This record gives sequence, structure tokens and C-alpha cells, in this order.
Amino acid sequence: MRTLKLITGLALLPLALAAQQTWSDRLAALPDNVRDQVVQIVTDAASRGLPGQAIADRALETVAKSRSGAEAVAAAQALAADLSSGRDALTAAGRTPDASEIEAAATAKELGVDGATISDLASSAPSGRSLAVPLAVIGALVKRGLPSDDALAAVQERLSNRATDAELASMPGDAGRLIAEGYRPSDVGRALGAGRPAGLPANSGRAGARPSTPGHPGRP
Amino acid sequence: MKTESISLTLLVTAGLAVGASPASAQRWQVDLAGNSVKYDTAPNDTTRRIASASVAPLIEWNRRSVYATLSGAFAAFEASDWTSQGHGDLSWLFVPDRSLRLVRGEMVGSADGSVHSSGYRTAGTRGELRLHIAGTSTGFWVGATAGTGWTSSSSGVTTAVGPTAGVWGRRRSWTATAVWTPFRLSGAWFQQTEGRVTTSLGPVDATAYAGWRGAPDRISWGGGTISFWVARQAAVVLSGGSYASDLLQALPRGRYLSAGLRLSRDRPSLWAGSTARPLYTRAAGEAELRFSVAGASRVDLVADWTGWQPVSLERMPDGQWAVRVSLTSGVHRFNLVVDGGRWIVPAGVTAVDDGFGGHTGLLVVP
Repeated sequence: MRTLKLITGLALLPLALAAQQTWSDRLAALPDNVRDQVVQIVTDAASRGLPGQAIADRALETVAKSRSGAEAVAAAQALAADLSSGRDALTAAGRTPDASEIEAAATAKELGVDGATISDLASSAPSGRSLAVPLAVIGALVKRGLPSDDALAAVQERLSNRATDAELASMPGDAGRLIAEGYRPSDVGRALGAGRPAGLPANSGRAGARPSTPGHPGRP
Repeated sequence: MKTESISLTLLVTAGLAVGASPASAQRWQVDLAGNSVKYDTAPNDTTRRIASASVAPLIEWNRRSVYATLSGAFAAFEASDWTSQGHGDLSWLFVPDRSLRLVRGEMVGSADGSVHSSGYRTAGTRGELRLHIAGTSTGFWVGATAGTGWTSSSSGVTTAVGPTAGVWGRRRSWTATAVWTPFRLSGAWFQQTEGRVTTSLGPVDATAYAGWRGAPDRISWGGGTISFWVARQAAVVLSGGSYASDLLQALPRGRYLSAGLRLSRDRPSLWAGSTARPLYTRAAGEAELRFSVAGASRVDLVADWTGWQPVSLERMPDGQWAVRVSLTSGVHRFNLVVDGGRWIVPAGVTAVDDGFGGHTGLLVVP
């Protein structure tokens, strides 16, 4: 077993080194004193299973926007904390999140979604389904003014209907349109689900209805 | 390398354009099947089973509050007879009062018809008004229904009226529905209830149903369908059981076994209501981003995937600004820099406070 782990580790080592190479190359653009601190933050985060690339990118964004080195370090630290709490919210629901889901959870938190909502989504979502887009959509709905619970319920309803990521992504735009039509944000969640609620059968209760079977013939 | 041309407004972002068109979806499927049916045309009927081959198309249209289906079936029997059927549904779901968060109203209309090679024809219509109390995972409704039926061997139109009530519940991929539909027909009241359970387990969709109708004819029926999706657009469908007679159209009850192939535009949702609006197929990989930036003479893109180094966009003949990029899965952040100075987030893209008095656009790639 240990031999297997060793072989697996050696096999994955080039990938890990390549990933580190990617962000460390990018951080070369930072001033020396800033780079060392950011590298430390990224290395520490990566060792805890957090996506270090996102942290490095946040530092670069800060510098690109002509902010100080201290602000770049603070931004990196803040994102590392958000990634950590976002990951914790997902794992608390029994999920093993990938990097994109951790980033999306952190983004949702930036947009005003609390950890409990993230956990609720993770615990209710179909297994095997990536939560990256659903999390971001909940964040976007909250950003538009929907209560967190309403945004969660609307996304859950779509997920239970097997909505694709693209279909989910249409929800913030639809929410904006409804608000422009005069809906209160607190009513938008229900209106988004005002399509047939998940589970509500279409055309049930048809008296004398025959089952929908392939080619069920009528009178011979 | 597989490439896709994707307008930014069509990308999976966390906040697509305000004013986007309402969500809608269309779906179609065609079932090709071999069937064995035994009809109960008389109380002690000993008619042998009849084999048939059938083709049954279905089109479904779903646009937030409107749901419609149009389906048909053509079956060729072993004795050179044939039968064809058609069915259409139209449902409008509405929110009567926005302050009543759980209350929905629904108007349902449907029409049926069938033609047989012997010249026998039937037709039926039905209308129903429902008042729903619908939560996220459970709900019930009450309503009233009226239906008419006609056959080519009768002189008039048969009518039926009655109340309806139903309850449904959903947990993960399981949905259960029970419906009570008593109706008055030809001076007699018929009690009728039917239950249905559906689920989706991996590549398998399954439905089981059972029903009962009280005096004067007192019958029960039940059966199930299993669809095994061998590909995203194809499933093997096995079904069997019994179904009730259609009193309005004077169609007999029967028992059936069926095996077939379902070809579908896509695997359907177990429940109506998914408001599909296909925007793209896949965003990861190489893509073309397009932006509308009014009045700009130069536009650069700065993003995490460029290391926040500016990349010039090309002005297209339609006035938009475009750039080809290679995106990985995850949440990406970007800005546009207009004329070398102004950092913006394009309209319709969700923006997050960057912490420095500005905003950053979000791009989510699944």
C-alpha cells in the first residue's frame, strides 16, 4: 500500500510542480518584498488544499490596479480566508469540493451568501454535480437583492429539474428583468420558480387517462 | 483544438444580461416500439393478445408559466389493421397575487382523438381549473374539471364534470403524486383515484402507477415504465401493465407489454418546469469573447487568465470588440480597460466590489 502511495505521489509530483510553476511565474511581476509575502500565503493555502492560483491572481489584480504592496498582501490574505471558509462550508455538508467549487464558494461569500446557505446547497445538490455555477448563481441573485433563502430555493428547484449550468446562468438575468418589471426582490425567487414547481405533475388527474407508454394502441 | 465562438453575453456568467429573453425550452422525442396488447372489450372477453409495431412522437414546449405538449401514436397491428391517436395539452400556471407566495392558479386544456382503420373515430376535450398551494418540495391542489367525448358510432356528445384534488411530494430524485378525480357521467358518479411515483437513478428513469375507479364499473389498473438511457439522446424503454377504459371516448381498458427505443433531443426532466434556455454547450477551452463598448477607440482586456496584463481587443465590423481566449474551469475575474484609462465591467456581467473602490467582473466557467 505504501509503495502504491509512493508511486502515486511520484506520478503526481510533476503536476504539482507545474501548478506551482504557473503561479510562481506570474508572481514574478510583483515587487520583491510583496512577492515573498504572497508566495508564503499561497504556499500555506496550497498546503491546506486551497487553490493557490486564485490567491496569486488576486495579488496580481491588486497590483495591476495600482494599489500598494501592503494592499496586495491584504487582498491575498482575505481571499485565502474566504477560500478556507467557503471550503469549510462545503465540506461541512459532506462534500469533497474541487478547486472551482471552492473558488465559487468564496465568490458567493463575497457576493453576500452566508456559509449556511452554501452548506444547504451542497447537501441538497445531486451527487456528482459541480456546484461552481450554482454557487455563483446564488451569489448573483443575492447581489440583485434576493433574500439568501429565496435564491437558494430557486436554484435548488432548478437543480432538481436537472437544469444545466447554462440554464442556471440565465436566472440572474431573468431576475433582473422581473425586478425591472416591478417585482420586489423578495418576490422574485418565487416568480423565478413560477414555472411549474418541481414535482408538480403536468396534466395529472386526467379522468380515464391512459398511461404514456410507447405506442399504446387504442381500440383494435 | 476544439474551438467555440461564444459571445460574452452567452457565456455562463454569474449574471447574464438584464433584459434577457424569458427562459423557454422545447423538447421532442420519438418512441419506436413493439407491443403486445390485450383489450377487455367485454366482461368475459377472451380476445388473444395482439402484437403491434408503433411509432409515437412527442413535442413538449415549456416557457416558465406555459407548458404544452403535442403527442401522437401510430400502431400497425398484425392483422393489417392500424390505429392512430393524437393528444394535446396546454397549461397556463399563474400567480394570482404576488403577496400569496405559495398560491398558484392553473388553467389546463387538453384534446384527444383517435382514428382506426375500420373507420371508427373518437374525440375528446377536457378543461380544468386548479388552485395550487405549492411549496418547494410538497404541494396540493383542488379544482374542477369538465370533459366531453364523442365517437363515430354514437349520435351525441358525452359530457363529464367533477371536482379534482391532488397532492404531490418530492425528495431528491423521487416524486410521488396522488390524484382524486371523481366525475359524473351519464347520470352516475364515478370515484377515481390514481397514484404515480417517478424516480431517476443514474441512467435509469422509472415510473410506477396504480389507479382505481369505483362503481358502477369498479376497476383497478397499474403498471410501470423503465427507461434506460444508453446515450444522452437515446433510451431503451420497457413498460407493461394495465390501463383504464376511457369512458368519454368509449375506448376499452387493456393490458400491455412494450419494448422500444426512445430517441430524444435530450434526456427529459422528470418534472415539467425546467426552463431551459440553451446558451452554449461548453465554455472551457478556446473561446471568443465579444463586448459592446460604446464610444471606445481602444479596448484592452485584463483578467486573471492574462496574469492581469492587458490584451488588446480587435474591433469587429459590427462594432463589437473581440478577443480569443483559452479558459479553464472555475471562477474568473476580469475588467475591460477603455482607451487606456477607464476600468469597467461590461453591462450585464455580475460585478463584485474589488475592495479598492472599483469593481471586477465575474466569469464562471463550468
